[in-house]
Amino acid sequence: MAEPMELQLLCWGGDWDLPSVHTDSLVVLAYAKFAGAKLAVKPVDWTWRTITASVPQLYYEGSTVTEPTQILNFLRKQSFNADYELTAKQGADTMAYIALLEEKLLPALLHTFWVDAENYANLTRPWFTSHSPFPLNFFVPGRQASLALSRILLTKAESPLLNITEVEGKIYSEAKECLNLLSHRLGNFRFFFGDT
Amino acid sequence: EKLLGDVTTRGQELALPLRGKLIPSRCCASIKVDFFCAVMSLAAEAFVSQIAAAEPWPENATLYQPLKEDQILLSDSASSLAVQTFLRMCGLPVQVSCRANAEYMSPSGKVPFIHVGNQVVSELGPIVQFTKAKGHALSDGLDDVQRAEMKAYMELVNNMLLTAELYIQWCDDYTATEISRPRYSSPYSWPLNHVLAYQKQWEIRRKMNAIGWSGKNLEQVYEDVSQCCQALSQRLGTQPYFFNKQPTELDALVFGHLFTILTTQLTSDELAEKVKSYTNLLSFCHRIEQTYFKEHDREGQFGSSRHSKSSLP
Repeated sequence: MAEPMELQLLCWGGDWDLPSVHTDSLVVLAYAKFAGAKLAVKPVDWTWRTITASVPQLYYEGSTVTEPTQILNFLRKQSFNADYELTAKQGADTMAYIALLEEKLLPALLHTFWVDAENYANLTRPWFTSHSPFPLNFFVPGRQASLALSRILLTKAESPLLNITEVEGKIYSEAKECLNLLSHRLGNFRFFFGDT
Repeated sequence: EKLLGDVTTRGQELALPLRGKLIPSRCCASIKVDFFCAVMSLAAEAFVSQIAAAEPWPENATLYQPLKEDQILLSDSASSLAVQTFLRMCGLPVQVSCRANAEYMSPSGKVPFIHVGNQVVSELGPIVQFTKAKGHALSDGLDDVQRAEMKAYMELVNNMLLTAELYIQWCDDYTATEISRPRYSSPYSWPLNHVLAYQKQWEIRRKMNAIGWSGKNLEQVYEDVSQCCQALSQRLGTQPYFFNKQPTELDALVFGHLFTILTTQLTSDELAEKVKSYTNLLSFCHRIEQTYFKEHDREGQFGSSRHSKSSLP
């Protein structure tokens, strides 16, 4: 009886005090906490799903939802709504800030985790390798790294910036600007739209 | 959040540049920073600003875009109109010149670009910075929170509207075959026209793939456009401009995109219908058109062509 009613989330496991190492999964987990939705978290570590499933993925009574934005929409429809008390204007602001984050901060994050040689070799790759089952641990980190690199190069590297170091300079300065803007917006509050 | 606390303090300008090195500590991963990369790009920007500030805005500034009648596509037309609107709002004269190879002349490969004095600047973001260095700025009156909001909304428009326009033009097979490829390659002769058109299409599709839009179908894209317009409409409310009485670059950008969507004929009218359902956005476009474009009454500026209608419905 309890099993089919539960929301089950597939995501990467956690380390370093975070419930999940994967940014998108963290987004969904945080939202579920804010909205009070009970999620049964099933980590995909050490299963074949590391390469077959697109993470995060939500199961509920037979239907599957992927992609963080779709999952959040789905949760809202199930009446787990953390944005209920926002005015229309604030709801519009959330969309705008999400777009800002995706455009400015995400490339820098991808770069730090997956493209920067030192970080990748010392931290990211060992972690993902140790959390993937045997034959996959050769492929999974490499695949994620090449996806991240291609995303950065296709969206940020335009004509005058021909090598990766100049692109790096550009994405880090944009990330810095983004953090400044977010810091100004947050001011002294605990959360972006008040205290809840 | 621990990470933000390490890198910045609330409300203050960030002094540290970033070149991250991740070290998992007992508590959480913290970032060690070193100077090199960010300082190089900041120095280049400061140098360009200094050159820009040296001279006032000349009379013969020119804006280059692809050919209006036959070649220009929806997304380029929108960007070009946004820049033109911004310059008009600043009161800076600029002549529009249509060239078939505008995209190749541009320093970043994107149109439009402006040629001012002996400098060439492309895309709205750098152009806004360039005009600011020359002493003309629209967003000076905004405080920090408002400026953050403005930047966020500009990113929303670029992220959603521009990407949706590119998707509809190049990833939707019907539109690509009927409209985009023929128009894009019209100035060139065979076989160059086919090569260039397919090359551009392949490039755009790769980009859509990388950001995860290739899995979407047309309905979802229209839905995204609708949500974006809803956010813009809610933000605008009943005000004349997005930030009170003064127009800013956000107004120019939104006008550029919405006006172009409303006045361009595509294979279906659904995109225009989505925008039209928000009446305050429609009146916003009318108002800006009346204020900044009608008074000059240039026939050639918005003359009707096969691709676009001459004014708003």
